[in-house]
Amino acid sequence: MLDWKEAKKQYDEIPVPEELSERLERVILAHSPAGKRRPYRYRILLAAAAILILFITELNVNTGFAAQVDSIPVLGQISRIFVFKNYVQQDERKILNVTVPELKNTGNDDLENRVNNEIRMKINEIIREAEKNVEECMEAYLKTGGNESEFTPWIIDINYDIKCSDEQFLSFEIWKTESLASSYFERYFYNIDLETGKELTLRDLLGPDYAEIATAEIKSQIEQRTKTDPDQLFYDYGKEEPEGVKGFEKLSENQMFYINKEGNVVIVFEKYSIAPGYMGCPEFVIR
Amino acid sequence: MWKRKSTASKNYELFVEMIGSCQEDFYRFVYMYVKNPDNAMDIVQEATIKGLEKIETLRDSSYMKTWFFRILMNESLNFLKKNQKLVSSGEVEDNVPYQCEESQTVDRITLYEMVDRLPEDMRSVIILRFYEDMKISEVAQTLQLNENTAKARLYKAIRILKRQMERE
Repeated sequence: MLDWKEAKKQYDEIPVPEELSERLERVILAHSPAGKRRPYRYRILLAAAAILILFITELNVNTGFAAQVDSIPVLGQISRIFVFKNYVQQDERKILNVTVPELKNTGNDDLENRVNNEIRMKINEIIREAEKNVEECMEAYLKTGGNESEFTPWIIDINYDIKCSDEQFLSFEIWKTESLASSYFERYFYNIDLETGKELTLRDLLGPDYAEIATAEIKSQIEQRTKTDPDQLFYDYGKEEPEGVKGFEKLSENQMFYINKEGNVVIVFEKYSIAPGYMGCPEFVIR
Repeated sequence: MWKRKSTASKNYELFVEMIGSCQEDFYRFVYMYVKNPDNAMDIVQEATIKGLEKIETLRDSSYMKTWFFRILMNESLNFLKKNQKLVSSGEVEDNVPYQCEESQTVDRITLYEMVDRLPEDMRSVIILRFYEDMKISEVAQTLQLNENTAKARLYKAIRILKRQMERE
């Protein structure tokens, strides 16, 4: 088995000197072919880019905001997940940007306590893991002749998304990215039955034959997708690209999934697990 | 009022934008060839200048990414040639073992390190495909190969890597 995820991770960890962006900026300003007006345009462009970044950060940082928009008047969606804490912590090595959600309004204190504890523990664990990555990266950076004062801080974002919040189901995810390196994207899903106060399994939702049902559905969807769109590529399908990675065979026991707004199960695969990286995290709605 | 922009000036802006957002990828890509931060920065800078000078000649902006990766790769290879560091592989047979350097201790050699030791032409395909997440068609465009050749090269590289992995 060739572990491309790990290899790409190592590639993404090649430290980039901070000096690079300044040098390129200078080059761009100096080499504006049409003379004096170009730098000006470049500045406008920079400003536009800055606004865009601001926009994106706003949306990213404050998914609580998006979540509220999500859940207010939409049919049957009820607000139960709120921002508990939102903070930024920064030092020379990292910028940690964390939004901790919490469960409220369920009328079930035990459930809320348990889930909220779990969320906080999970987030602490994610932070510890990310800090370890930063340290490792720093070590590699210093070993390869990097200078500590020039280290570009690692940006760690932790936030959440609500997938479904109706009378019966609550489904949401906590996700994490590190320094925009896509191989560090991780997601954790929570699926709760509000009537019983229990965490839902695929068996609860699809019945005892859940594995067979989902496996068959996913395979048929993969085949359909690869047939209709040549850019859709899954390992081992059509044998177009023997990438040294096994393709999808059958559902694993702790398969990631969530429940969408229509109440359907959506199976999610990690990036690189059943398809090449450019495909992102493949998702399959099981009806 | 906004004037309609010419393709050339639109391409220029897209190019500047791409340099802004993808420079880390460009740097890492070049670093894989030259293995030295200062040289890698020089090359990305040189390539950016070349790109700025030639961007007006690019007709279709959808090829901008592969077009620029090609410039980066050519600059890197020229640099290595000048510095006599390029190990020319010629046509390497599948069964030629790619040995780990002897200094390598009992540590398991990782896939990343193995990729690093592939001959240049195969390494480029792997880097573009798996590290830069390019589609085969884009890999082929970047290397100016036809798609089947790019595919064949990719599979050959994977075969070698797999075999080496098994030997480990």
